Amino acid sequence: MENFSYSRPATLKEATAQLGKEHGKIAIMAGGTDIYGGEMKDNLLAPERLVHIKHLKELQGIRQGTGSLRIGASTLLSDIVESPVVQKQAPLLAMAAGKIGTLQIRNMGTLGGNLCQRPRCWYYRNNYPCYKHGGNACFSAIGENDQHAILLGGPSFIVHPSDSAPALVALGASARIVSGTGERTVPLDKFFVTPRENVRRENVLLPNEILAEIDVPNAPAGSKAIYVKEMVREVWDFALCSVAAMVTLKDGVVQDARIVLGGVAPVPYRAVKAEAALKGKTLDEASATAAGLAAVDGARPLSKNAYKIPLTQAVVKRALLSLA
Amino acid sequence: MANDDREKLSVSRRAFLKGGALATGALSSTLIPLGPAEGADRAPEATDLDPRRSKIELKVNGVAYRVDVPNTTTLATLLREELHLTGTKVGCDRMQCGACTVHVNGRSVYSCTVPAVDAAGTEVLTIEGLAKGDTLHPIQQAFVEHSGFQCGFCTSGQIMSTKALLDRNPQPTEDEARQALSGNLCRCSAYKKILESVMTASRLSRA
Amino acid sequence: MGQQANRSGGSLKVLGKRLPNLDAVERVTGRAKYVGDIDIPGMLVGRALRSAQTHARIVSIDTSKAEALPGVKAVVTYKDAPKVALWGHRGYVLNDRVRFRGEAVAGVAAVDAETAEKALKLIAIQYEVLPFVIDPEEAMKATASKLFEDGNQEGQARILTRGDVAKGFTESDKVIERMYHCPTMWSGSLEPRCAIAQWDGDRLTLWASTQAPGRNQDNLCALFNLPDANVRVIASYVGSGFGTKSANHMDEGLTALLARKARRPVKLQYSREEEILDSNTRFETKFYAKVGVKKDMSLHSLDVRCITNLGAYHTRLGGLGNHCTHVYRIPNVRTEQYRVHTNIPNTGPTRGVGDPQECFGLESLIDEIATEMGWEPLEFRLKNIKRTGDPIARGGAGTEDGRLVTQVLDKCLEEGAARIQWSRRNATPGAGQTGPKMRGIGVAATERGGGGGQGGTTIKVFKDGSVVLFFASTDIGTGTRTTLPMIAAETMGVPVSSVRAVSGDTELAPYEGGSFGNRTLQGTGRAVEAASRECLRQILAAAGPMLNNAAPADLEMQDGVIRVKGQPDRNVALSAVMVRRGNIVATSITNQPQTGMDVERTSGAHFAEVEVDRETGKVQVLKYIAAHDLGRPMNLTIVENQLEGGTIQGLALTQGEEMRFDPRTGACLNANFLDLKPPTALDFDPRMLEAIVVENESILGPYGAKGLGENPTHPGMAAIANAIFNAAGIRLREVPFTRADILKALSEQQTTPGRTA
Ligand SMILES: Cc1cc2nc3c(=O)[nH]c(=O)nc-3n(C[C@H](O)[C@H](O)[C@H](O)COP(=O)(O)OP(=O)(O)OC[C@H]3O[C@@H](n4cnc5c(N)ncnc54)[C@H](O)[C@@H]3O)c2cc1C
Ligand code: FES
Ligand code: FES
Repeated sequence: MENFSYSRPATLKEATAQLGKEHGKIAIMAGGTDIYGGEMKDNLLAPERLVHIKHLKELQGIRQGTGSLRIGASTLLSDIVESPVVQKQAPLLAMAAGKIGTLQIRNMGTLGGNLCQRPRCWYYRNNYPCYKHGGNACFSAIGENDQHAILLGGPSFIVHPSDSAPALVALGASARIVSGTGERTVPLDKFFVTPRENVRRENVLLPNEILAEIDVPNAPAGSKAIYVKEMVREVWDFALCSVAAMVTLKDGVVQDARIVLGGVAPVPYRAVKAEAALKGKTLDEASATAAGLAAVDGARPLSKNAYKIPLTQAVVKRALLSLA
Repeated sequence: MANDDREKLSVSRRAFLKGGALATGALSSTLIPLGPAEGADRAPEATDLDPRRSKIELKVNGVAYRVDVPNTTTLATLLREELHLTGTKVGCDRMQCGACTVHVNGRSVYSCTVPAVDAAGTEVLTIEGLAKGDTLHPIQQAFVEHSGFQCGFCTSGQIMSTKALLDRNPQPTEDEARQALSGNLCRCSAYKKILESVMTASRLSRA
Repeated sequence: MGQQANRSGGSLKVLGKRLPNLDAVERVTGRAKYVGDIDIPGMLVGRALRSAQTHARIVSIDTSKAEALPGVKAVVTYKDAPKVALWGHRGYVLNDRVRFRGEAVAGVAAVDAETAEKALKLIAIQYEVLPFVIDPEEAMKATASKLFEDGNQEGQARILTRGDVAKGFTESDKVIERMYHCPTMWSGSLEPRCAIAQWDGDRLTLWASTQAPGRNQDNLCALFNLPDANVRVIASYVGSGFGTKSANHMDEGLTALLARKARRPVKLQYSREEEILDSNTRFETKFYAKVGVKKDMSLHSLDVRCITNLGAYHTRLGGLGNHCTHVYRIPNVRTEQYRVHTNIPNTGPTRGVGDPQECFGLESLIDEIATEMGWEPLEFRLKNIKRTGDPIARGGAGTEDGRLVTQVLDKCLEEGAARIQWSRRNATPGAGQTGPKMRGIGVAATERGGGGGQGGTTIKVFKDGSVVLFFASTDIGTGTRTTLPMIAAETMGVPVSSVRAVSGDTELAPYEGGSFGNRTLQGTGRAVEAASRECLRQILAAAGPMLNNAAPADLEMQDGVIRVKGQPDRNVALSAVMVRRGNIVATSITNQPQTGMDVERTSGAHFAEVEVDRETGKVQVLKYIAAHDLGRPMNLTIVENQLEGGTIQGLALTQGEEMRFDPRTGACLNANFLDLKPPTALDFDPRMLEAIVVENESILGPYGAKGLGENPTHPGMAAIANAIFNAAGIRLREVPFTRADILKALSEQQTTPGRTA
């Protein structure tokens, strides 16, 4: 790892003031599990300066908003998993955050960092000159691609690694983003960008912006939700495929459904066709199976990841049936 | 500082540490144990000469230290190389094995990936902080009794994770115990004996 | 031999008990010093420069800038490396050629890590890039890029024959042919390799994380042309090895070279990535097999052609074991092995060497032919396995010139079957199960040599009666620092708590190669028993005059008290005898006992119950029985720990641990734990795993013990593959068993209905 200078600003304002105009040179560190423990140790990135935002009081904690929870970006993942209010008002988020890495990782990583973490593609992590590193190829397209995208892939075929993201998108959360010159709020499903929109980055953040807070609307009354994650190992692993599913039922009939997939697309993938397939239906084996099929409609597998199609179908179906 | 100077300095520090005066020695220029009241909640300070080094104060196993390290230094390296607490092991340096597990402010973390600058102002507990003199901590006793290890390289981490579990949940079920230790690989795969050790540790700790 | 008396079992005081490891306190307090924990004043940080080329010739190498960097004390390249091959190895410590991506091409020693790393970047190398080959069958072709002047094949094909396989196949009633593939798999330890070298004039001390201090000593003597007496290798606490640390490796030589040039002690600590890329990992095998049976349920002919991918370099070991010739009675057998170099990292012996791969192939094949014939696979095995009294080959040849003794594979199979309730398995594989989850049960048998060979130890009895045991092999987590003192305590009649072991020091103990291949308990154990007997003889002789000149033959020692047999109140404490006698030292070096025709092996059988999820492709192991012969168990806790751990390591190979190489660059893409996926505490629930110690006694080992380190790792892949077949009717012939493989096999099964089990 290249050495760097380090700053621990006292306020958010001070922090944004230190940020630069391009990605990389001056970098934000929260828990550091990805930027320091991954990108810098693996020499993918060598920032001159790290701005450490984990200790900023303004970015910490879980607050009641009106009809929502406001979670500071630097809140530790384990605090989210264990928070009684999160468990009550947004149980889907608690479930998903509980599936991240291991206890130690959740004790170190933050929610903001989890949403902004970089892809786990082997070629990216091995420093191949791919799109993400400013090159003009995606090596997975004709290489080892069993973990890559079956939906929305191209020109890069990474999958978004975050477990909290599908849950937050399903919950309709939004991101409050702060820079030296002001702030903006972006719905989370607009926060993530596909490679076609920006092949180098995975979200809309500009180099001088900090993700300050996530606003998480309370789960609708009468709704039920579940996060299911399929991995090679039982733990300490990224998703081969995951689903955040939330349904609102009335007399067994689906009033509203949110189905967001992880591990299969470069962004948390909102399976709108599956949602539509469910609406107005009784939640049962037939409708859940149909939703599973609809979820992967349009999937285009690469040479080694076709298994993700039946896997995703099964996971969506089972997640839904568990809510019936 | 020229490299050779730094080298002399580190050699003299090593020699000094060998003398075992770790907790009291006021001789070292880079390692100044502090009084108990100091050291808490302090941000690191950049070293005057080099912005890429920091002065860090922290408490380890109840003893306060001040060290001056490059910003690249991890907490594991600080513990092992600066404080010579080598019970904490490094098996991967990437949050992927758990051998380096220690507690920072009461939470279990992978010290290989905690930047030392992040640990400034914290209280750290390592494997060396468990036994009281020659009396083993009940968790250690349980690991001895059940041979909860083979080569022992993962053991410090397994024990620190067991402590983190029992601190919050003194009477875990076997499944809770497996879950709580699932962030610690044992390559020798002594998992069955480790599980037995954790369950006995829970019993001994409550006794 | 006194052993006979002890074989009755009843009189054993120490052995057979469950005792905590004698060095447990050091291990649980963090006080145990592994090599990486050792600090020597003035010690430098060593680092290796690793090449990003997969296959290339070094045209020029310029180290002047690195050498000029303040704080750099030594830089070495192939020009500094003695032209002495490592143990069985084709290459030198450093080579003028890069044969795999990640091979070290230079070493640096500097005052700190930052300087050393900076120096690595200042080394300028010009390469002539060569085409590379990573597939062993490609590498065998005449047109393939050559790693070595004389081609890519290591030596001649190893051929072993018995009978006439061609004739055997024509005589058979049914013949099938299959291929089983095990890729290159990571097999290292949690402790990455580490070495410290310190020179004192022309005397070298090396602290190493090694299983084989003796082999390291031999190698360093050869490298530096030094007498044995000038090289001391110390390996006290070793963070396991699993075979990868049993051969000499370049890091020991590189550390010594750097320390000599720098005239300061040097520590070379591998990173995890270096450990994965550059130790001796488990080699790939392509196992082409053809088997013929007769209607009477007998195995009749077996022909195996195996291609082993040695990677860039090899250690002397590496190849299949003896499953094909030793497990079953088969009149006609032929095995033909090709050992091929390719541009992937070097491989070597790792837990079981080639046995797990061979076991996977053979035991899957046995299941497949049984299925073809409609035979019950356990019954088929029991009908054909070798039992005590059956002919078996003594040496490495095919001809069966010996007689198998103390073999209990039949009992392993029977006891394991009873425990898993074998009759619950599906009579028709994959049939009759409703719902997405399908359950099934499978079996696999294994065997191996029991270990042993030459062993040596020195035992010292001090003035106060305390005992220290010195041996040069190592405790790599195998518990020998506990079981060997138990043997000494048993033999001498002293409390175990008064015995301590100093292991892994070539200067203090008689020469031994090291700890590998199931050998330490038997080989070193025999020496410990003999040296303990000699100490006891001297103690009793010295005690006689203190007990009214009792004849030594009338004396015995128990719990450190010498007494006249039958007159317990005529006694004297060992410490009192030792105060008068002074020190007692005994050294014993023992060879493998001569057994004439008799051949002793060690065997085992594994039974797995799995659940296959038809929709997600997930396989869960619900129950796993590992029944093993290990002679008489010396310490049940240690025995179980070895069996359980070894078994999970075998199962791990069904889940992951495959090293994946990019076909276009030859780079290993997943050289980290996240992507190799070694099992966590949640992957194979330890509670479903049960180890059974089948009652037996060795004729060779001390107190009837056999070695056991390797065997539990062999059968996992085959047992799981056979269980998956029984559950789902799909046959997997390549590990690991991924979701992709399973979902694909299931979907193909659906499209080819009417397939009978
Ligand atoms: C072994 C391992 C296993 C893992 N398993 C999982 C898993 O199963 N599921 C999963 O979801 N993740 C997993 N992760 C990823 C881990 O959860 C994330 O790395 C962690 O949540 C990131 O949080 P952090 O605070 O440490 O982020 P950091 O490493 O500090 O930051 C990550 C990135 O986000 C940027 N960033 C951080 N905070 C902000 C902010 N507020 N505003 C703008 N930019 C910001 C940083 O600049 C950096 O680029 C794993 C990581 C490892 C090492
Ligand atoms: S060394 Fe920290 S997790 Fe492996
Ligand atoms: S005891 Fe060896 S890694 Fe756990």
